[in-house]
Amino acid sequence: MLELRSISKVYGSFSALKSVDLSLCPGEIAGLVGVNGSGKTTLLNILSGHRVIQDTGGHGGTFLFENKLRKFMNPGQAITAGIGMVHQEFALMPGLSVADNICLSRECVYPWSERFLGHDLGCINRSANRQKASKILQEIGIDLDPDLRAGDLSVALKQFVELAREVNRQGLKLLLLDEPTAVLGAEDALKMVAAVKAIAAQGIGVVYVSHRLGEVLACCDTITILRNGQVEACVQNDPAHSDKMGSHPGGLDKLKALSLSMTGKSIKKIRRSPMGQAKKKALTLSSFSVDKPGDCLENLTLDIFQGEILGITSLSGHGRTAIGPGIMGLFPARGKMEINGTPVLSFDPLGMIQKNIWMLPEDRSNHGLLLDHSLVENMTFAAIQAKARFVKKRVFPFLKFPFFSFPDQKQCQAYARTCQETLDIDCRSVFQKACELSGGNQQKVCIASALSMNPGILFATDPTRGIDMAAKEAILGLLIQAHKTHGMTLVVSSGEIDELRRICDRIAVLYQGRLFDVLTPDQSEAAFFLACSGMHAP
Amino acid sequence: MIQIPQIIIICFLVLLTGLAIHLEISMAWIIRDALVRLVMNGVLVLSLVPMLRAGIGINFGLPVGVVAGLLGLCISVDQGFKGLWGLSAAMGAASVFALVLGGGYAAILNRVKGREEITATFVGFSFIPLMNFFWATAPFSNPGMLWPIGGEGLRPVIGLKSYFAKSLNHLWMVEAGEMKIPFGLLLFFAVLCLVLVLFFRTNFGRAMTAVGENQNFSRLSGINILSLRTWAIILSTLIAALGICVYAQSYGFMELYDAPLMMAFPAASAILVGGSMGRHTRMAHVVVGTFLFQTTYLISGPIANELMLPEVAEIFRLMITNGIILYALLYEGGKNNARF
Repeated sequence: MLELRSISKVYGSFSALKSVDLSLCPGEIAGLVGVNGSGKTTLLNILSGHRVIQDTGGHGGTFLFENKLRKFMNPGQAITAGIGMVHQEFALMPGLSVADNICLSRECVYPWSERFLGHDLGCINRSANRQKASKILQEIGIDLDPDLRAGDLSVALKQFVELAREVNRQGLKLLLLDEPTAVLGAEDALKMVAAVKAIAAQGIGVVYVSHRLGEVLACCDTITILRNGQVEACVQNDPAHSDKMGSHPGGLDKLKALSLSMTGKSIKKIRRSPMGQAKKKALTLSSFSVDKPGDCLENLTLDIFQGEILGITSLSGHGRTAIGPGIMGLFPARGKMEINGTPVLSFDPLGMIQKNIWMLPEDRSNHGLLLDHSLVENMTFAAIQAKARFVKKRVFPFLKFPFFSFPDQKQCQAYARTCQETLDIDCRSVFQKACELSGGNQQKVCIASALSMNPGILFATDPTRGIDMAAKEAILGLLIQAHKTHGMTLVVSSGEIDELRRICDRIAVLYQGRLFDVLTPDQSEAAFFLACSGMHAP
Repeated sequence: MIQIPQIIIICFLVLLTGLAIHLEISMAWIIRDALVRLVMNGVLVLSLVPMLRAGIGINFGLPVGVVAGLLGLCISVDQGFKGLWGLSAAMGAASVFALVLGGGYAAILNRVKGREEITATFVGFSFIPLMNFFWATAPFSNPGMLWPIGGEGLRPVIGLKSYFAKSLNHLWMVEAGEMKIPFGLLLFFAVLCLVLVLFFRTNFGRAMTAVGENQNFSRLSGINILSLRTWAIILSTLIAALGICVYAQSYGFMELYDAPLMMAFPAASAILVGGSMGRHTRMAHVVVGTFLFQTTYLISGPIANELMLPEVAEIFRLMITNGIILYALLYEGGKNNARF
């Protein structure tokens, strides 16, 4: 049904895609993998008729869909042709219910009102919508009340609702999934894979883009590997043989081979041996609760020891991303906290910075970066403002007004250049705007900013989310490096249990917003999965 | 920086200038007046910059700053101060009022984050009647300011001729043949622009720009957002107060009562004509915008008189300048939505 022949795309002088071929039959799942910047998103943009393609001069090559030559000018044409896409960003109406979101613009109406007023002005049949929505949710294997408000759902559930909405589209023939599991924990990712398989079973073709190779192996019939805009390899895969995410015999080898052809080099997995039992408490939380919408934390009582790396994990929506933002005062928090024995009364950013606490935020573009500013400014801003680092010496030391202090550009640039080198940030220059970098490099800029604060305790929330494998290992390496050289205490919240097990000394598992257990990294993966679902290992 | 709206208005200005030369209207007069008008209105336009940079939007509550300036002017005139000293005294007093009024104005705007522009408009509108009451009963004693009959309450228009009218205009006037260049006035404006540029390079000014771009990021970096916004609003009010002092001395009169009501609109128009796009406002936008906006206004008058079609030039001028404002607003709003 889908046939791409020597597709190419040039942005200015940069060629994003070079002679890419891809074909897909109905009911088939085609995996598309590659590191950041390998051209996956560009290819999806061509398929979904994204405006950016036409605005920058269209693409070359032949794009056949259902044996017709296609050139979409806008997403509307792609949708009419039967191509649906689930984006990485959520495009749900937060104020509407799940059912309303799924049926949006395709609502069921009462036939009598349709006869008089037409479909657009017809009277909406809410119960029919609800039934339709529950049916679709059932089809993709999600147990969810269609009357809930979309805005109240956890990130993972939102992703499923978005999938359900696309599936609900009549005449859907091809579904494009752009990293549908990037925001999901391992458990939810399995559900997503099952849902995608169920969709394909209905005869819908699926293009599945993901950084997680295990999943790709578990669900795709063919896997196309892109590197630098070219097809590096296209391999056949039998998903039936890898029902448990690359854990079948030979699965690991396959994974290794895949990642090797994605990056052109083998990725060395970062590993760190846990240190001995630390004694000195750096931070004590008791009955600590955070009201983060969709990810509440309740009554957490936990000691964090000096110099350790503590992992915090849970399924999404069970509270793992609430602790850092709660302590930094981004969301209302209650409870007691002691830092080195001194109680902390209020949770606000400035107070925490003064106590040498810093956070790598989960939402990089909204909380972690000034997207319109240069890398230099992003890396040094917080240190200049809150710690008076990189500041020119005052000419008149007695003038203590804030108006009279200037940043020392030389120091700032020197710091940024050092960071660019040591953190291996891929950018044209340190004066490039932060919005132009890829996710992994943006995260590195956030880390540079964190290092400039020289914090005693660093909270990192989902530090490797939405970035490719090579960059993930680089980020983990940087965190360990920072932990080692700066002697900082590191609290990493993540849904990637495998990553946490490789770098942490202890891992706290949350269930339904409460602390369920604290495990050591040498415990089996199964024990972690069980703990995440609120069960103790036998 | 120069985009379609600026090109259109520059073409219109070139056309007008051509006509002016054809009609033998004195170029020396045009240049001198254009420069004077640039500074006369430029300071008021400049006052929009801090609030724009801090992400609060266009300061439609400019009348608050103007009133602070008028209070300063009244005090200086009441005391009978003359010349540059009188103007400086007026500016000094105006600054004090601007701090107080700006603080109150900021307290209101900080309660309505996200809807500042419309709130500011109505703060301006509701503040003027309140001040009308004050002007009518103000305890000033200089007979030159009071109603001639009855001797109570301030006049709507107070002449500054015997105090400090044109004192800054005439400072260091450079004469070259027919041309007269108000060097002191231009220098004052240049220094003010420079101070503001430097201010936005300080850590405090950078923090202000950061608050305008991303409040979450700024908050996490330990910045007190409310205080930063308050300072931006006070700064805008302060510059507006200085602006009306410069404006009044250039004009030769100060106008009380309802006169400040609509002052925000020409200033907002000028900065939009200059190509300002919200947070990304530069001093160049202020200078270019004010110059283009005011000079078309300046030249179209005499040309219309010469051509005996007084309405046509005015109609064209309004069409083009207001059309450009609409374009600027549409462009700013549409940039993000155009794809859908």
